[in-house]
Amino acid sequence: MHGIAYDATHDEVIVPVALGAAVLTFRGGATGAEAPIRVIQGRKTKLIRPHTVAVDEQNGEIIVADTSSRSLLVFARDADGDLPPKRVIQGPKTGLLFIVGVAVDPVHDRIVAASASSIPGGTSGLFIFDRNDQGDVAPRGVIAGPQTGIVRPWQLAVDPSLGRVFVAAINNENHPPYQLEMPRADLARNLQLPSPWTTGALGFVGVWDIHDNGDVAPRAVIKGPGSFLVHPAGVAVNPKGGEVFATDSVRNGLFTFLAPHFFSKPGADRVPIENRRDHE
Amino acid sequence: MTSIGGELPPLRYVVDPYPTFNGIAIDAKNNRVVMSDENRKSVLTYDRASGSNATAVTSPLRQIIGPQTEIGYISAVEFDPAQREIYVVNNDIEDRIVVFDYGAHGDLKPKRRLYVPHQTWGISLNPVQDEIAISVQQLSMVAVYRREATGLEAPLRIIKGPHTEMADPHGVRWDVAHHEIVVASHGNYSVITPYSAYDAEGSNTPTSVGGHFLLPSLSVFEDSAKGDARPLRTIQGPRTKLNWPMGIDIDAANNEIAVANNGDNSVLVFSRMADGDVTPARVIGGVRTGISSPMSVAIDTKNDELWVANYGDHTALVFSRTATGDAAPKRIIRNAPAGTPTGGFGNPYAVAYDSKRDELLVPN
Repeated sequence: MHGIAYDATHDEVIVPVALGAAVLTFRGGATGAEAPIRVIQGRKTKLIRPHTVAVDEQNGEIIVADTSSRSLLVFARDADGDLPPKRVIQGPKTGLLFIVGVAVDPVHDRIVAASASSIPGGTSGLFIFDRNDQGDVAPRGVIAGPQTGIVRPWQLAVDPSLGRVFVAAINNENHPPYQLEMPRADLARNLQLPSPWTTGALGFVGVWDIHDNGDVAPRAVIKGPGSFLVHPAGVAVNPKGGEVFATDSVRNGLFTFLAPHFFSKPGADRVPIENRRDHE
Repeated sequence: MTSIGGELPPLRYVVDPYPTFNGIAIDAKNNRVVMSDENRKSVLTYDRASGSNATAVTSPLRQIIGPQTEIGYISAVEFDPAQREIYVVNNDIEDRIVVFDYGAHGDLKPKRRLYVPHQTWGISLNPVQDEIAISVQQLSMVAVYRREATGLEAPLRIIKGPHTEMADPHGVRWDVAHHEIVVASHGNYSVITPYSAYDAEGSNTPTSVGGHFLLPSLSVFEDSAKGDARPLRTIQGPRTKLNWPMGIDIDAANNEIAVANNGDNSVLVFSRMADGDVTPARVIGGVRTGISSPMSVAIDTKNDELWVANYGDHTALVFSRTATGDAAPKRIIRNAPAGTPTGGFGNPYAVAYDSKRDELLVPN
């Protein structure tokens, strides 16, 4: 599983099952072989390879990012069984391709998707949609480009109270040699592909504003050898405690960072941390 | 704009510094056991007679580890005693099988590499036909390659389709003596369409055929099967006790199939000819066994032993081949001091914060 969401309002855990084309909801605190309390699965759901999920506790919705259908599918939070999504964001105007991260900000009414594209003209970055968008719609904003430092984004988290988007930029180089069951026709037979662990740019956790757009640098980062992060893929936040959590598959570990200044109110967040300390 | 933050040291971290065993293979002729280590991304080779009931770490003969090895999120391993080669399968990241000589040690380049489909998990060698079979989780597929295939060489044949009844296959074992291939499936079934960042969107919108959860199973195919072939026999149903079956091995001499039953911390042994909803001939499980999230098994008919690679504990266990019930292992191979907990992470790509319990949820 490459996605997970916790619904604090209803004390539930939501996970996608990519290989079963399903989304499962468990009660919070579930352990062992406990069965899910709800299962979204079946032909009507349009799910093909659900990769990651987000939950909108305020509006009672689950947002699913599906890598095969290149779409964001929105279901009622309590959806159960084989039923169609309420809304689908999908199509060439969306710019979405390999969607591996999704988050929702119900305060600013935005859905953010992390999508990667390695085809000519494609974009890897953050795609920001209106929360109620559906169909083949252009994003309201796209955060991508060399200034962002994002080579390959992965999981997202949001602090809706401040409109902050947290991104795990895994940034490793990963060129799949196969398209499904056959070697890719566009690759030379004697090609040596890079190892995903030893190539690419150093990964980081970056923070942007939900209203950012274009090739803009992150407003905050966690990065570098001292952070232990190499290619972080997972990110979650505890705004109340000022904590940022990240998983890193190179380290095969989980890291907790104390960064209360990442959760400060607008107006203070542009001040570099060093200067902030001087004033504290 | 100046970004705040920077090189923040972590306040806390959960990282397991020790190996965790996953795949296992035995070469009884040369007295070698090889195991994959998913946590530190390495391959460890031990003397077959190593291990004891002591609490100390068991020293491996060799360890292949480092960035040059191309070993990452590793799953199954396989020996080729005739060629004195070790096959190593990368599962969810590297999309390649790398091959090393028996004497390989440290950080070195593989002898050869074969690119394989994403989420390849199991591997089994047929030295008579000079072929290898692999299982591929997300395609519910078995693919057969030339033994010496390299690079982007295509498979010789594949077994794939709804009639195969495979669903998220893991363990695969070639029964050379009986010309069969046995496959263990978890039961997750869907039909995916191209999904990577390199696959341009087609002119047609991909459609869902709908996912299913099937009961876990062992499927037996003719080893010449290809395409959407039906299995010869299928072990499946509540009586089987199958629950997340991982690695498997076949004892052709005694007509048995052993399964690492990860879901309930046991090893199941079935008659090789079992078919349908049948009870296992033997179950090894219980507190005394020490079996904890078993990932793979290997049968050593020469020395009448059965090996189990644990993922939930820093051990591999050696039982009598005919052990049953809550039997204690004959000896234990430890990759960490006794009692050392495991982090349990396997390629952690996501995390969630449970604010109600102040807990972190990490899916593997």
